[in-house]
Amino acid sequence: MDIFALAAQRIIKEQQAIIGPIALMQAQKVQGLQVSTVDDIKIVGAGKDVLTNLVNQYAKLFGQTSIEVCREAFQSVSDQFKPADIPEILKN
Amino acid sequence: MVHSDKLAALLRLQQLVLDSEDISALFTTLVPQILTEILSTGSDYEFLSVVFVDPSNQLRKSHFAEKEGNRIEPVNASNIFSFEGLFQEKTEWVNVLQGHIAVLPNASLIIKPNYDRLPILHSVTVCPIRFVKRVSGIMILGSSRSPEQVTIDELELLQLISYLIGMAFRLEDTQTSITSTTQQIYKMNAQLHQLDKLKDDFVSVASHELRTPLTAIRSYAWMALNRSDVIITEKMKRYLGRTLISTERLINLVNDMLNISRIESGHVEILPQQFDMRDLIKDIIIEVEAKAKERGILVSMIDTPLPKVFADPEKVRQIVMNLVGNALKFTPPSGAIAISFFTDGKTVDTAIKDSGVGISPDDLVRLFKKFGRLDNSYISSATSGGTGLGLYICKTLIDLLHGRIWARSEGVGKGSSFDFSLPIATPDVLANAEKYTIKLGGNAKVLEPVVV
Repeated sequence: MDIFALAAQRIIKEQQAIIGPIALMQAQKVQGLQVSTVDDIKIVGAGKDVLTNLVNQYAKLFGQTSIEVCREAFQSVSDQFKPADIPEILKN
Repeated sequence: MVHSDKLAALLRLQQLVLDSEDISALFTTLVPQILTEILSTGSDYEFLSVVFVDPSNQLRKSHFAEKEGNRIEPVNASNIFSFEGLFQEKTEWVNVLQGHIAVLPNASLIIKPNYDRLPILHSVTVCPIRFVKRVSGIMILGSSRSPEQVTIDELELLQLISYLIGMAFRLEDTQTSITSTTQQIYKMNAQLHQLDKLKDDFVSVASHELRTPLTAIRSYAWMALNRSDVIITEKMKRYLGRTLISTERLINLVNDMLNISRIESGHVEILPQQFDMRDLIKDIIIEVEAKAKERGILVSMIDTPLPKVFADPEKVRQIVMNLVGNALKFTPPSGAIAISFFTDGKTVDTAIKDSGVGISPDDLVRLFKKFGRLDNSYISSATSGGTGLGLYICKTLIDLLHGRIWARSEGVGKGSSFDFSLPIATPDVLANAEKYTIKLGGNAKVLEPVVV
């Protein structure tokens, strides 16, 4: 699993812990993100953009708190990212 | 009677409202479109504005669109209207407040003098927008025509458009309420999740801190009982024996709590591989043999040809040790524990059947819940050393392994059987190995072993 897919997985899992199955349903609406289960995630296209879209998808429904949750989830994998690859919305 | 061109315009506007994906931005596109549609029916207006107020008649929001040659431009309305005068009960507004359209000859009543088109405006049509049985806003149209030139047909269309705006406003208002409520619920859930994490951390730290002194107490109690240089009385032996059992129970409880904390916080890895269940069961029988002999219980395995399963052997071992440990605890001396297998080609079922105290049908459903020990059918926890968490851990682990666990018993005194199923390592399962795997890298924690 590449680092962008891994980050997406961490974010979805963290959202799942808060909102349950809706987290997966929302992730499935994100362009460039192929999600069948939370353990089977693929990214098609620019990973940075797909991550941004994923965070925005949650933010659109759940507001600023959901962005904070995404940032916290991203922290666990952020050290694997080059600074230029980190989406703006996930920077603290 | 609304003419067909006006009806078509109305339907197009209705479709725009219904098709809008982002309700919060609906009026930004709707207001210019309304003016476009009104102009397309042949009526001439310079601008259209939609103004909403709250129940205390304070301005809530406004939208403004202006005819600019052939184009319609959205404009900031705050510099055009004198909103202060809008909902005052002046004579001209009584009709509007009562829900009727008013065509006013004096535009300067509500339009600021600095509006560059004020000199050419000869009428202002004000149409109330009703929402929940009250006027919640107005639609204002400025025209270079005099009030007499505004036709009944036009007013009918404007009335219908105002209903549509009211509906759109209601839609937006509902959407705003739902969004706000959803976000509040999300925030509360996120806080609860945070608290849950803190609880897990607390349990983890507290358990670690508890285990160290408990281990020392157990060791000294055991040494005092078995290796004492001093002759101890039978009474003292009983006391020390009770101390030892109670301490072991506490250590088991701490270990189980640590395991639950690690599983529930997602710190447990699942690394599946192909293996033969019989090999694992044989190992476990050897491991528990001494304890079984001590209790006079026979543990055996019914050997049958089996396909390999695809699971994490360490986690399966944890489950089997728990189940065999329970069977040993709740089977009286001279009893027997038999481990058998069944396969349907998709899964391998392992059954750990004992001749112990059994379980009543009503209690079977409670078994796999936290602290679900059944005191009425099982011997007391003080002597068994049970924590009431073992079966819950088994269930949680088996779920992670994509398996199933269940219990059977004919009733109290008739023994019981604890069965679990695991997927067979078929080509299909192996091709989807990722689905059965949970890798955590550096975050993984090992489970505390089960002591029988």
